[in-house]
Amino acid sequence: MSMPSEWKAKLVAEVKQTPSPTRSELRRKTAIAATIGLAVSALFVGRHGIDPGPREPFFLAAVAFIILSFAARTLFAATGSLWTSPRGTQRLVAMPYVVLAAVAVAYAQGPTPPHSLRGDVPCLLTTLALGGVFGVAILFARRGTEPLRPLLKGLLLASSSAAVAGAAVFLACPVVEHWHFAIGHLGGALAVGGLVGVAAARLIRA
Amino acid sequence: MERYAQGDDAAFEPLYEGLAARLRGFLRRSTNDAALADDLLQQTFLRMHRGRASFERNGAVIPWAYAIARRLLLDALRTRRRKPEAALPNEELLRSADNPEARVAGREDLDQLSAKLAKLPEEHRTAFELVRVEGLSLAEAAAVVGATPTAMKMRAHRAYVALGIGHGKGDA
Repeated sequence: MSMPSEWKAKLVAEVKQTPSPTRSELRRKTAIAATIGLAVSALFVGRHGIDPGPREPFFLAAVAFIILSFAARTLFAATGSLWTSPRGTQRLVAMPYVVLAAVAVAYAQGPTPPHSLRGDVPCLLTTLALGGVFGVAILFARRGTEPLRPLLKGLLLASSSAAVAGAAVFLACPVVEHWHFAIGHLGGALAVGGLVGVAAARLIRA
Repeated sequence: MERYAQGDDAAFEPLYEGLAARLRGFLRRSTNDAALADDLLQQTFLRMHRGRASFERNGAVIPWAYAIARRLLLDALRTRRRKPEAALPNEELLRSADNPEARVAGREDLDQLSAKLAKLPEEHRTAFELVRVEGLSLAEAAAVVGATPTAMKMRAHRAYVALGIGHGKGDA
């Protein structure tokens, strides 16, 4: 079943005209985008400082470490293109949110100060903004490069940006109250993850 | 593919030579429409080109290419609002398979086999097609659809049982 040579010549010509980054270009762009996202989050933490409130510093460090580890893992996993297990990828996408949910549950075990929705808004907006910056940077770097599973890979990238933003705001917010955490932090991370994920599914499709 | 992913554009032609005929056969058998198959083949290569940077280092190119072609195929069939079952030229598929029963079968038997194939769940039929017709290994076929090799083996086995045919040359 051979192909006509003119058909092949036409395809080769079209391929030559279609821009496509090489692997090293994509790696470099991804590294730059991740650095931008991390730098903005680090600037935020640097400006506001780490405020442990009544929380143990070890608890803060452990949660931040776990969340950032998942962010790195999801970002790394999103560089490949063929996975043997989409279910494993889905679990990876869910992990940062599970960690944040676990923190909300942990907060529920302690004394609960009065909750105010107005107090949730700054944390929610800050998480959205930081995650948005990270997400936009990473999507800009990876646009049009995923030929196979843009939604799953987009969700991986989105989870990565949401996790970084969630960790940064978590370090700066001293409020120990589970509804505040669920709405302001977990809600913010889920919202930014969803928004970036939906945008990514369209933008990174090859 | 490795050289191509690293930016060697001259590596496209050998890649094309190695894959085009197989992919075209797969798409033609799956669509029963030469024009659509050629269009999907062109899109497959263009997607491979645009996504070459995301090809995993030392990955297997055949499952990757088949996975891209299959995804485009499913999108095209969905767009045409046709169920994959209706689009499959089952008789050709069965004759293409390494399937002694189909080769010696009479018209009536082949019709029966075609009807059985059309009734298979999509994932069982895909397993049959990739393993038996396209000749991919279980691991390669699993990578195409994003399943484990064990799951792929089970799906292919169920397809063989449903079609009432043997597993391969040795055990037919």
